[in-house]
Amino acid sequence: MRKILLAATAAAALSAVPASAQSVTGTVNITGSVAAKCKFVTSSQDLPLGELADADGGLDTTKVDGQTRTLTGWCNNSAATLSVKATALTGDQPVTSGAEAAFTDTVNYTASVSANGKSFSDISTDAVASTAANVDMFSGNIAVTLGSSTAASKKLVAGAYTGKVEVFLSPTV
Amino acid sequence: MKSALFKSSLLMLPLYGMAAPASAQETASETASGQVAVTGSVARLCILGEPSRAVVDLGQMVQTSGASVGRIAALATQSVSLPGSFCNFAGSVLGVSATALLGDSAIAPPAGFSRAVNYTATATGWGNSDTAATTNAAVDGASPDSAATGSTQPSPKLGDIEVALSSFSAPQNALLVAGNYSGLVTVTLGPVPVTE
Repeated sequence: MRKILLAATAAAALSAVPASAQSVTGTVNITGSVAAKCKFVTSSQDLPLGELADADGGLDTTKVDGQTRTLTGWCNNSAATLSVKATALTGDQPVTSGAEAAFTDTVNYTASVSANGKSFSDISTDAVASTAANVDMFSGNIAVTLGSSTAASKKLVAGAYTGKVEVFLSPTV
Repeated sequence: MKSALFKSSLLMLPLYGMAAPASAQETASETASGQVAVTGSVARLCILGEPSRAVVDLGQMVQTSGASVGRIAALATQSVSLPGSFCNFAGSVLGVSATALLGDSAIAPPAGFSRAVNYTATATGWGNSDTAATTNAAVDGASPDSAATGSTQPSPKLGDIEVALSSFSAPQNALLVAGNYSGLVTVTLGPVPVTE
């Protein structure tokens, strides 16, 4: 009898172990966010074209067409867009007094931009940027190339000419 | 493992707190812009059109009969056009220089004779007034040159320049020595000369 009691006690003690090890769980939820951004790494380049006129005083289109400079940048959002605004080359000496029929102080062109395997363009004859188009997320070169230059078949008035191509990256539509 | 998670949480919280100021500086809607500055230049340039006549041949210049035989005839005005001449800047000026027609005989002409024929070269189409140079060579051909500078063209201009050769005369209306006569008209287009 005594042996039986000892065995029962041992069994009771063993069954109590699982009941006392029941687990509980606490949770720390970790969150963060990354804002949609676009950045230029190389945001500015100079493109000196030199003498623009040919021997007859008209535009030497070879001085403009095909000229290129490369900016670099990135966007971290697939909805990122790119737009281009080309501003005509304008001379520092206005054409007046009826000389407009033969001379111009304006050289228009088309600015083509290549980024992330996509192409964008804007013509300088208007003062507005091209419609923003999707460029997707990317990091790399943004190549700007000039083309289709024209002085409206006129001769160029002497002087220094300045223009610019602006590239706008927007992280969202 | 719990210990590792706990450390990770502790690290993440300070990072989250540091990220907040950064996002305040650069808003999610920030648009980036880059620029390629394009520059060029156009040099001052003047071009004279190809003369419509490279040589002006006056032919026989003296009267061959009548009371004034041997003396210069009434020669018609000769015109030369320089089409499509232009300067691409404001402040250009036209110059004309003329050299009297001189006979190819280098011998000093005897009294009553001349080896020079004077004339007036007038250029029009530039500036606000005509530019005229009148030669005044002596009978022996001395001092055959004359020059004139026109008025300033106030703006770039493209147009035809007309040159008229007129008023042919012999000094003292002398008899002209036989021979071939040649003169020269030079038209110059350029910036207004700077005087110091």
